[in-house]
Amino acid sequence: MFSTISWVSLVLVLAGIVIHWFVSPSPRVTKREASEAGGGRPWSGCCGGKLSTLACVVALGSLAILFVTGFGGLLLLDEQIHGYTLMMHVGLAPVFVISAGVVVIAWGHRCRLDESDRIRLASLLCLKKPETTDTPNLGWKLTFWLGLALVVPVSLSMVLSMFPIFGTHGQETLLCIHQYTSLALTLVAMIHVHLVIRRKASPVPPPPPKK
Amino acid sequence: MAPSEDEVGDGDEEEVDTSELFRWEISGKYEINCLACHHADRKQNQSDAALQAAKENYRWATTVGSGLASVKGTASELEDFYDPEFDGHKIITSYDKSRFDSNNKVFLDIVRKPPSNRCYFCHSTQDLQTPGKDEWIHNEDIHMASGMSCSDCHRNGADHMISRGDIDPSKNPHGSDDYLKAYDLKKVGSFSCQGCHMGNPGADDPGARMGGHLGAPVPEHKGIPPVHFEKLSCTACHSGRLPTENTARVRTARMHKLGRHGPHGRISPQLPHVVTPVFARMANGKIGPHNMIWPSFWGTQANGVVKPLAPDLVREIAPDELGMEIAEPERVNDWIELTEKQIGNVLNLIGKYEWELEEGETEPKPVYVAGGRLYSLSNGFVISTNHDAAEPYKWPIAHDVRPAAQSLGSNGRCADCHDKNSPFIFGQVEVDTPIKPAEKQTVAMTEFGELDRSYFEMFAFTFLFRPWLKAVVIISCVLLGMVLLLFALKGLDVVVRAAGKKASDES
Repeated sequence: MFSTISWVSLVLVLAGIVIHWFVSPSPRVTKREASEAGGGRPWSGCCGGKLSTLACVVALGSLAILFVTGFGGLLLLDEQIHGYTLMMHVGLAPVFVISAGVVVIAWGHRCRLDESDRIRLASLLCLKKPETTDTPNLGWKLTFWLGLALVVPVSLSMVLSMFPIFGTHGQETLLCIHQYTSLALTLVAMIHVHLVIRRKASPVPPPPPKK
Repeated sequence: MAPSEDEVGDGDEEEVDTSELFRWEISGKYEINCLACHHADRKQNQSDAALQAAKENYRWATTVGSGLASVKGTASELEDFYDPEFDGHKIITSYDKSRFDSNNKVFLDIVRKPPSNRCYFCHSTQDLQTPGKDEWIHNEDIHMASGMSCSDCHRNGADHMISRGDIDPSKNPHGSDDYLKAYDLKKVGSFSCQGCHMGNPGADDPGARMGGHLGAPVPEHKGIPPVHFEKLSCTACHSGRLPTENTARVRTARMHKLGRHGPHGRISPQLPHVVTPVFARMANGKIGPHNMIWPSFWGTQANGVVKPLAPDLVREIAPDELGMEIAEPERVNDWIELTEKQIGNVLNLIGKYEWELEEGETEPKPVYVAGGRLYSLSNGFVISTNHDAAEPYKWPIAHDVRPAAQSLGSNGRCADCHDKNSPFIFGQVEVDTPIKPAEKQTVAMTEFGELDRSYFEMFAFTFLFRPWLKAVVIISCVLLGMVLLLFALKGLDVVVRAAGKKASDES
């Protein structure tokens, strides 16, 4: 069941990314314009500088390895993670969680939703057509927060199972939570990376003035 | 021994020795003794029945075992043509008059469900690590302690195919077709560990699907990842002796003739040495505890097949080499020690024995099996190799079941198994052999569980860092959660402000 859901969702998201890549116009601007607008790639040049960039790279790299080790056997061989793969998976998990912590501290302020994002989001939630279509930042910001929010259940579900708190049913539920939230996290991360790459040189609007 | 009428009528393949036909008239037939299990009277004593059987007093064994009478005389000592009409009664039965009422009627307390003490005559184990005066420290099986009896789980119908509590009978130890024929997972599976404690999903009976037979509690298994239930049998954590660095020894009722008393109770055999617990792969692929013996026998090998020789024949062939003339031979670790030179000499003598071979049959090669090795002669020298026939014989055990608190991994004790010194994985299994019996010879437990030792050593090593892992992940998650909460509250603040502004604008 989980294997089927994983395959279907991965294929759908990948297909969506490819279609989006070709169909939707990329909001590209020159680097100079982007710089003047106070923007740039969200992975560079602000907050913790090199450390925050490194944290981003480590988080994405470790997430990729965690995905391969966690889902590889299940999706390709239909067997649960075990042996040395499990050891690598568990060993890398704290690296990912720590780097996610650094990322949220370093990038949280920069990735908060501004006025235009809020208006766009409110329109989307109310199923209204937004007044302006020029909101290239909403997608990657939302996926940023969603991804980091998913890190919490992904991590806690496994750590809690290491304590003698939950019985067999609870353990199965925790494993289920871990699997599905991991899948969601991976999909969100893929979309996030796609959106960020697409807005490579697009301007990031300056933070709203304090009232 | 004379077969019972049922056995003869069934067309049993065992050939009947006609020379014993005369003896049957004297000894009587060794009938199935229903009272052995179903007689609830406390005077029922299978030890007495066994003594009568040893005397060939088969006809009287049931009566004596039931405690109704005592018998004097020994059938095995009587002539083949003994006739009580002419020779007088030499086997005399004396009934216990107090058991009979004024009408000469006797009450036999026959019960459908045998009391557990009846089962123990054949099915009990003695822990040799704490024998004699210290035996009192042992607890009995937790099910017995809670007031159950053997037959509560090991049930049977009129066919007397007693369920073993297994849920995978593909390789039943009896090799009995009848057992397999009578085996119905829908019913038998309901009285396995899983069936009673967690329910048998395949059962027809809705109650059996729910489990909880006789109040069996549903186990919580707190903190144990479900993968353990795929890899381990219930018995791995719950049954048998708690594992220690080296395996222990036990004696069993049937192998070591426990439970006998009186004249024949004085013989107290120590061999074969049964080592326990050995955590080995079971027929269903799971790991479970086993009792195990290392075979040791003289035999012959032809076309790769090893057949054991009767000990009497070997003693006859090589009496001097085996020291048969010594009345009280020196024993080391219960064994009469064998040297390689002795083995070579005996193999030579067996090789010279003139076998009655059929046409086309190849000359068998003499071999000796001990300590997991097959010894044979090659150019006059003794060599030892691995062979299936030398593999230890092991059988899964399920008793005594320990209480939950004494089960492996209970209450989150991962180190019971995932520690570099854990006997469950890294224990040593005693190799029992008459060759250098004074030396400690062992095999790693991982050999029997078919486990990768280096992997489990590394895995155990990672458990040193597990507390750190937990701390790091929890702290990171708390941090993440707090930052997320902070921004969520900020976002909420913006929403509230916007809503307030909109409301004031509208008014």
